[in-house]
Amino acid sequence: MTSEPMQIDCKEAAKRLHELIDGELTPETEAVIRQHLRDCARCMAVYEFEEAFCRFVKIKAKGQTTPADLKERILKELGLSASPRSE
Amino acid sequence: MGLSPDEKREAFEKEAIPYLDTVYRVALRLAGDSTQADDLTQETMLKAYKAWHQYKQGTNVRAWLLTILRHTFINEYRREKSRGITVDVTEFEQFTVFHDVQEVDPEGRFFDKIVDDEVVRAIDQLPEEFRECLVLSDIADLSYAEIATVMKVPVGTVKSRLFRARQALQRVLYDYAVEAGYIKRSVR
Repeated sequence: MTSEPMQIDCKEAAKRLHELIDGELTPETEAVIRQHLRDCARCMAVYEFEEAFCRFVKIKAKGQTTPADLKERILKELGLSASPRSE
Repeated sequence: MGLSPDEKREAFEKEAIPYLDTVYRVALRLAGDSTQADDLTQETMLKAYKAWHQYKQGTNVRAWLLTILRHTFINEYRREKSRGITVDVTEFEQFTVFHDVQEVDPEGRFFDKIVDDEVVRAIDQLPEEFRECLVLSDIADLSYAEIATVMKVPVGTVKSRLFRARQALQRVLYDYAVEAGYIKRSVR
């Protein structure tokens, strides 16, 4: 018995766009959503806008680093060396 | 068998300290001011070091550190006082900003003109449970399942809060961009 390939409409695709952007879908569902995006210019435009926004937020919100004096205080408190690897 | 003090220091330095910046960034957005964020970061790292024997090797150390951070914040730092204006996240429909800008800037290029400070200010306006979700996803890069574990809520709740947080953030930043003259408000 062969199962019918999963089909989705624009409403369902819209509900899953952020899961797609965040890499949270199973490979099967991701393939179905991506196929819908290839077939639907409107959904693709929304996806590209949302994807660009998420990328923008991730970059802008990660601008701050731990102040040097705080880092030094923590390392000293823990008895660790002053220059460990950072992210 | 437990680690010797030297082994513990070495393991913590190698596995936990590289996430110090992530802990600090999340602390800043939860606490909302830098003095509290400093204290919260320091306390989180000291608690994590003391509890290092409880960390399960091979699991996500970032999620573990952020669980300690959140617990410390809720129990010792959170104040019930208002943090100023918060955005109403219930008012957003699906993809409203895209609908507004699709004719003039469908790729959302106007966002790139907005400076970092304005973005974090907008994040700080989100109600706490929505802000936490967004911060754990977009600053700490945790998966939905990891966020669910840290926040002790179902994955479906994470999904819906994250979506609404991002839509609210988009709206706040869009309104800011209109006021700053980066984009002209379109009439829907």
